[in-house]
Amino acid sequence: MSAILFMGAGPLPFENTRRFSAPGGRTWQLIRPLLKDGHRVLLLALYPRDSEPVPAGAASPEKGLTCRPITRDTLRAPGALPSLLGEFRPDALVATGAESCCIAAGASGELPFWADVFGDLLAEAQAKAARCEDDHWVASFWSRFRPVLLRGDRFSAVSTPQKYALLGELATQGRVNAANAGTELVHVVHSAVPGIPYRRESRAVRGSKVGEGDFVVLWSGGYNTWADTETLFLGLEYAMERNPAVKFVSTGGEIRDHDEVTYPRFLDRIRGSPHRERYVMEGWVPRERVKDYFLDADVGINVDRFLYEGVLGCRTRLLDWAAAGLPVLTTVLCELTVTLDREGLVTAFPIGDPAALGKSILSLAGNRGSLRAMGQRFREYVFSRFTYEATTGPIRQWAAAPFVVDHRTSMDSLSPLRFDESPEELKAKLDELRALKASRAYRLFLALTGGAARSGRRGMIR
Amino acid sequence: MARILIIGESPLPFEESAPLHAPGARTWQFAKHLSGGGNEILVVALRGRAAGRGEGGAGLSHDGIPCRFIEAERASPDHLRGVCGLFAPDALIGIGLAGASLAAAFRPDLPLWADMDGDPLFETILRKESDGRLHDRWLMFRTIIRGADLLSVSSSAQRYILIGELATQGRLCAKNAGRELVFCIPPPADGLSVQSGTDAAPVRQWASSPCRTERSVAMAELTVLPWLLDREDIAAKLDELRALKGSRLLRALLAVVRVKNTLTGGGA
Repeated sequence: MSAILFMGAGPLPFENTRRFSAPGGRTWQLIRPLLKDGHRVLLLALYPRDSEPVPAGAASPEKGLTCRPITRDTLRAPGALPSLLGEFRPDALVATGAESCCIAAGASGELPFWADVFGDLLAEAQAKAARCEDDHWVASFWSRFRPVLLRGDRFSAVSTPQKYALLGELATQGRVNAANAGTELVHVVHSAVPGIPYRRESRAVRGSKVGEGDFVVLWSGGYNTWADTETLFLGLEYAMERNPAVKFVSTGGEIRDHDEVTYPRFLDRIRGSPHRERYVMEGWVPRERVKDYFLDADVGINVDRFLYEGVLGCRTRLLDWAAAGLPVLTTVLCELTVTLDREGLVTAFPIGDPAALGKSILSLAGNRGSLRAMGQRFREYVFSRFTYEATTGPIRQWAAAPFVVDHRTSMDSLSPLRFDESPEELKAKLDELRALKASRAYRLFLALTGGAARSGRRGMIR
Repeated sequence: MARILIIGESPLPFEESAPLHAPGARTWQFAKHLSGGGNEILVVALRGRAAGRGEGGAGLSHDGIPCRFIEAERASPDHLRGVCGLFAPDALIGIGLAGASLAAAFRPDLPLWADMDGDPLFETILRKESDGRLHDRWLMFRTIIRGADLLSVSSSAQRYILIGELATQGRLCAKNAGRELVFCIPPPADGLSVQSGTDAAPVRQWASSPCRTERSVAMAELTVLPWLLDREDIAAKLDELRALKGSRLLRALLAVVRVKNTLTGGGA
């Protein structure tokens, strides 16, 4: 059995916090099977800035787990990691999520390192850049991702498309090379749920904020960069105009430090609606209460924009809804929704088509009996395939005998170019170039030389 | 309708005693498909010296599509310009690593569609070629993924791989979010037939009004941190800095601007 240092995220599903995050769920998905296999795990968990404080050594329901909450700055302090490790002597390092993987890549030393890249970071960067209309996010995400590509010994992705994209990203860094030809560098670890059906403890909105006979369309979770809230809003308005029983209930909200634009924009749209009293916007609610909302709702809704983030990623919240047997109305973009649609387990509508969404809502509202039956089939399907145990085979196998890849090269190391300057000196020179090219003299220079001095490489110079 | 220069590989399927050659078949597949759409096509096929057939083709056309052949070893933008003569393309299509990298270097101002039937980086591994060769092919391939506006591949797995490769070059950015950059065009079952139906529709649609894909600057330009750049990028920037600092004209202009700013109290 191995001692595994795990860098992940909180809150974990068993913590009853108001803010639940997908990285926290993913952390638990990977850790729990490792614990069941008898490994000892020390979890260094990053918590969102706005989450409730979690005491060090928080209690966990699993034997063999020690949890230490950390912040982004914790490991920057000299000697921080040895202090956190204490007597724990890890045989391997596992990290999940962008920030944890980046921190782990820097702290991994010679430990075998499994990087769980949970969603394609560069596609997420594009989605964020588009939302913020600022491409610096692309470089910012790349700065965190590249060290992970260069350092990881094994990788996992959340979908088959992401596995291939990750292979492409690794290939550009020289990580797919002769020395590891024939080796599977990237494994798919699909999202999963604990496999325990939700039971109602109390009513969340039925009989209070919505009527017994209302048709409740539920959104749960963060309003992320990929969410097409305009289509969602217009589709709901379409349905509300035609059926007074249609209500929208939302748990979740903006994602601090990641997307603080989408949700407020959606709220602005709702404030201007003639049906605004039919939108029940609950914000983030405690984890233990969320399931009551699922059980009160008639259908869960997921609305994607077309983005590579969605093509390569996974809408994990759908699996959460399955535990409540909540039927799903969704766009079809990620591998999970493609699969569920192919199996006839969800109701689908085209991306960016509010009228189609509205009509789907009306159709489902008129056919609640078959909708419930679909929810039951959905739950059975998910519980038979997307469990922690069924999805984590590759990492469990690796954890039993973790190893470092024998030849870790990079495209840079294959380059004949070498520099005498330190990174700081190179940065100073690149800054000098940038300042020079931003100057009025340079613009005059270009005008006088007819742009002949401009690099012939397209897109290299602004 | 557009004038499209297709830079691909020989042997094309109609060449005498030519064995079926995937890049050649792919070149012809695109040429036939776009010619059928009413576009004016010129095919330039790169020929390996080993083929022993040399250059030529002036005046040759097949199925109404004019074709030229150049030796791959002599292929350069200048040479290609001479071969094209008076044909002034509106857009370029590059087929395969050699064809697409030449197309990317030939006229960087023109819209470029690159077709990559097979990933060059993974093929290098498959062929058990040296790591040095891998680096050479990477430099060619990087020119393509930085320069091409839209791309096509032959399988869905390769499509995802290419999306990942594009992403590392900063090609997935705010300006083109929500746009499909990579299309899957499977090869015809017999390797020769013109692809029809929806698979090849995107390239025909693009050819009807070829345009550049909006993009950010390259990843290298999004940051000044050297550890985010690869060595070739850093070397190129240092060369550029040296060249600019070595320019008497620019030095003079800087001095003039400095003096003017001193006199007027203005900024740079």
